[in-house]
Amino acid sequence: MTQLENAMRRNHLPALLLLLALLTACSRAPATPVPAETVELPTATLEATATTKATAVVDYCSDCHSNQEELTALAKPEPEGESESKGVG
Amino acid sequence: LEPWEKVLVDEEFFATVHGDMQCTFCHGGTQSADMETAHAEMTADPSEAGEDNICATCHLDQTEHFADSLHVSQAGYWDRLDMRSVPENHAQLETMFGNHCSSCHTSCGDCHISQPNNVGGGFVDGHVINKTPSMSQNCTACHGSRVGAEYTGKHEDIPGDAHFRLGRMNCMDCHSGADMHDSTEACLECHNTPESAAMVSVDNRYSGAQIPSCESCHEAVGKSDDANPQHLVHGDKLACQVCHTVQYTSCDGCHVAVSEKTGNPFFETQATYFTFYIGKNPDPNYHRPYEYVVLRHVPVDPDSYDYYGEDLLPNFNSLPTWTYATPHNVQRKTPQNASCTACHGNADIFLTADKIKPEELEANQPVIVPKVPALP
Repeated sequence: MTQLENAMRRNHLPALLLLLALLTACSRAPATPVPAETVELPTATLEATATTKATAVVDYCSDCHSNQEELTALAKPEPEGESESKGVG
Repeated sequence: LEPWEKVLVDEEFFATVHGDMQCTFCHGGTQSADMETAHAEMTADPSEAGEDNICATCHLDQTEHFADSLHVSQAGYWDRLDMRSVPENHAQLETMFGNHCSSCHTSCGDCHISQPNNVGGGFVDGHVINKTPSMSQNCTACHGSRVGAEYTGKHEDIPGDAHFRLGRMNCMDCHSGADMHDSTEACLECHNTPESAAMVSVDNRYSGAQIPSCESCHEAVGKSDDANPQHLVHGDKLACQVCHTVQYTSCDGCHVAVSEKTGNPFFETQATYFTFYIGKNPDPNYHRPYEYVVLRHVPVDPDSYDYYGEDLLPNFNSLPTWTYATPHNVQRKTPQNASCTACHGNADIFLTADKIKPEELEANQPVIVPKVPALP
């Protein structure tokens, strides 16, 4: 190694050390706001919504009472027989 | 309607505001695929007057005084029963009333959703809640045998009401929702102080102002610029119906009982016939000052309720059996207004003593015309 090369190496050393320090600092920053739990939250929320929706959609009353075939099958016949009333009411 | 048809909800209902709600919000019951479970503790008509009236949740203005509506209270029936009976008989009469009369009372749903139960019930329009009731399936479903038939001209040789024949007017054109929801509301427009409001009563449909009155629309009648001199000549002496209605239904001898065979209540009316009689006003007052009105025979009889006990109407004679009537077959031209002598001196159209059954003479003294008015 020549004297010239040695002189250049000595002059760049502080700059290299500073660059290394800065790069180390930058590499730590993104690690802090990424906790593992945050990733799981959307999954939990979606599950809850899906459960609520399933309950609201089923309305047994209206399902049956808007279904002519089902009502026809289930409706109890009304008691037959003429009214015993006579004359204008 | 077939049984299934009475309870079939139309898809159209689900597109309305009320269709957005779960059925159980109004009707109670349980969401279940099993019919028995779903219907347990369910209320078929949650719109009956009272604290539990579900309609009041949103429609407070319409339901606030609903219990005072004659359609709900049926006070008119009790007013008459009370006057003809005595308190000791009220318990038996209440049983009778529950069996035979109370089915005619009205809930919100009876006018806006379903046909009334006493004509079989069932949705009018697939449970769609109609702001305006159906004239045929709601109003005249109850008021059919007299008012409905007269108004629409169902009696042979008797024309229907001019308002229907010529104007195609329905019941609601004269009888507003406000009047139906609260029988006192219109009264309070004039009776607007605590003292005068206390005078307002809802004993029966003839106990207060005429709502509606003919003059509500025919404003010029009886005023100084009235083109018809007869209106000025007769003034408040005659109710409008005296000159402007024709023959209407009267009935005799209604008796009620419960069938031994079926356990169902039933009635029997002895006679139904057409009359047109002008009589004395049984209760002239500020709102109805007329000397003469039209009278209809009502089918009450001293032993109408004998099935429930003997002599339940001991004060039968305290009220006439020929009662103030407002027939719904109004005509501009009638036999009695064809000429002066068509009415004056015409004994056929006045309720004189000879036209009344001897056993009812005492009861009808207030309305009997002692002497047929001659031409002045």
